[in-house]
Amino acid sequence: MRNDVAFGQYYPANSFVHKLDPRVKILLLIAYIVLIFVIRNFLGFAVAIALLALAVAFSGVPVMKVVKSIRAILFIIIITFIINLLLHREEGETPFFEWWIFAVTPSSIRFSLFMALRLISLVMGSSVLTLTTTPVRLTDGIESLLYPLKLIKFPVHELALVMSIALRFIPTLMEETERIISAQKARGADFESGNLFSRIKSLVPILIPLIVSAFRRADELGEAMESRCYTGSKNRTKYKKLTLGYRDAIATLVVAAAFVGVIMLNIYGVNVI
Amino acid sequence: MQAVKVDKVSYKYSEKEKLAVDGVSLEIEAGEFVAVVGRNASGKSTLARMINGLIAPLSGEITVFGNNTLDEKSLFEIRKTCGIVFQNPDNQMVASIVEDDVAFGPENIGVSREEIGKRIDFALQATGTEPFRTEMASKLSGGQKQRVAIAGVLALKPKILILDESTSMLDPIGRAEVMAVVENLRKTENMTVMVITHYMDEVVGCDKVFVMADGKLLKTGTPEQIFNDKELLDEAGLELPVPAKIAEGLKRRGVDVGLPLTKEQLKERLWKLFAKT
Ligand SMILES: Nc1ncnc2c1ncn2[C@@H]1O[C@H](COP(=O)(O)OP(=O)(O)O)[C@@H](O)[C@H]1O
Ligand SMILES: [Mg+2]
Repeated sequence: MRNDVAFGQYYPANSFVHKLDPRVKILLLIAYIVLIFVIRNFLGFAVAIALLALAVAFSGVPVMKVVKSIRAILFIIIITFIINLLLHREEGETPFFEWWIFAVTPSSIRFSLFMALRLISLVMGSSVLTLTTTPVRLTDGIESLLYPLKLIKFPVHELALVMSIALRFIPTLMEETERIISAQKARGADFESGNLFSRIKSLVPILIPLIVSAFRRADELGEAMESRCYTGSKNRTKYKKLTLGYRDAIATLVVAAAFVGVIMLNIYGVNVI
Repeated sequence: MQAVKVDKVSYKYSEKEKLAVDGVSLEIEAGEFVAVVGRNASGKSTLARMINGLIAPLSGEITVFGNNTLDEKSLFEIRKTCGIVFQNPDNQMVASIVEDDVAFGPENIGVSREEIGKRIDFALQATGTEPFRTEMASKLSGGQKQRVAIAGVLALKPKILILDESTSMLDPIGRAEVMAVVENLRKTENMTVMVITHYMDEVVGCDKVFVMADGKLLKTGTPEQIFNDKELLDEAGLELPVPAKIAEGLKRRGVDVGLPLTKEQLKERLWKLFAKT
């Protein structure tokens, strides 16, 4: 089975990071993403990467699992790197290399590396969240954070439920996709050759059965939920309560410290790399 | 005490179609183990859906421990009392992690956190799934998943358990696992169980068998009565349990051991025959 293919699927463990409140983890991830986008020098990235390393170290998740999460968007990272490298240009620069509209300049190297580092840090940081948080806790966290929207009648509970069911069905649908692909291959279907158009066309016999079965699954799931007394969010209780603890305070302090560090480096470290 | 009473019930899914269930009446006593058998599309699942209150009968009525399924107010009570385990374990799990999924039912009926915890303990223990408590359900085998699905239903503390072809997607090992769990629930919890199945070997231990064809209840009887009725078996498209099939084969070769329904019966009768000669 391609168990690690789904980006950052939950990794059961009992670590410091696992025990953090999901709401805190979500907010800290947002803070971390903001952080990597305000960084202006490589030393700042050193801080961000140290923070990420710390999170991984205290998560009990094998480092490779976090690193592998990049695979899913490796292609995008490479493409953006190349585009930035060739197209980014600041005024008055002497390029190392120039051809037609393309040029490699000192600033384009710097800029493209920055973007690549940002994307990598972003994906790895997000995967730490999903690797250490069960879908139910994740969506409970989102539900709780979005709670104020209930005042304007936004269906917060339903949205959270939809997300958690979507996460629940990712492995099921991936398994099914694999099954359909091998069945089509056994009948002589070819997914690997031909031009882009014929490749896209060859996806149709995979997508159609997948969609048909997804509808059937939705039907059956709805029936099963109803027979298990689901009637919506009214009078519903929750098995797992979200509670803040000392760990959440520590984690928040650490991220805040990193934030201050990066801002200091932005202000005072202009001349360092 | 009467667990389920189905009284002259009919149902059709849409105006144009024929009746999916056609004038069925039956009764199930508390603690009984009953089976519903019949060809595909003979109305078995429709009947199960009506007993659970997922759909309301077009005519006639159903009571579950005295609660009428036509009464909107008692639907909640009925669904708590009568749990259904469906065919595909993948399509009845709501949460990714085993304990989260088992918690879904009790959360829906609004019991306290401690009580939910207790119910999860009980349900996982009864189905032998404690080792997977914090695992991803997607990583389990079919039999394990289906046991988790049973646990999800048990967490509502039902008195009746309906298994609608719950073993049909499983390999023989998974099937045996699930049936062992059901057997254990009958013994320890005195659970009323209704199995809907195509595997006749799951039928032989029942108290009562309901045979359905074309939406109608053809016959109610003990497994012995049903499997000795050749005409009925043909009409409802039923096979014999494996030991009985073996016995038939032996009979054609001139060895008469009657119609044993279980392995044990077959063995015993063969021994007797063997001892005589
Ligand atoms: N959801 C549905 N919508 C429309 N017709 C259905 C539905 N489910 C079952 N039927 C029809 O009702 C009849 C009885 O089906 P069902 O109760 O599922 O039989 P069984 O479980 O014995 O295979 C069949 O003719 C079937 O086509
Ligand atoms: Mg059916």
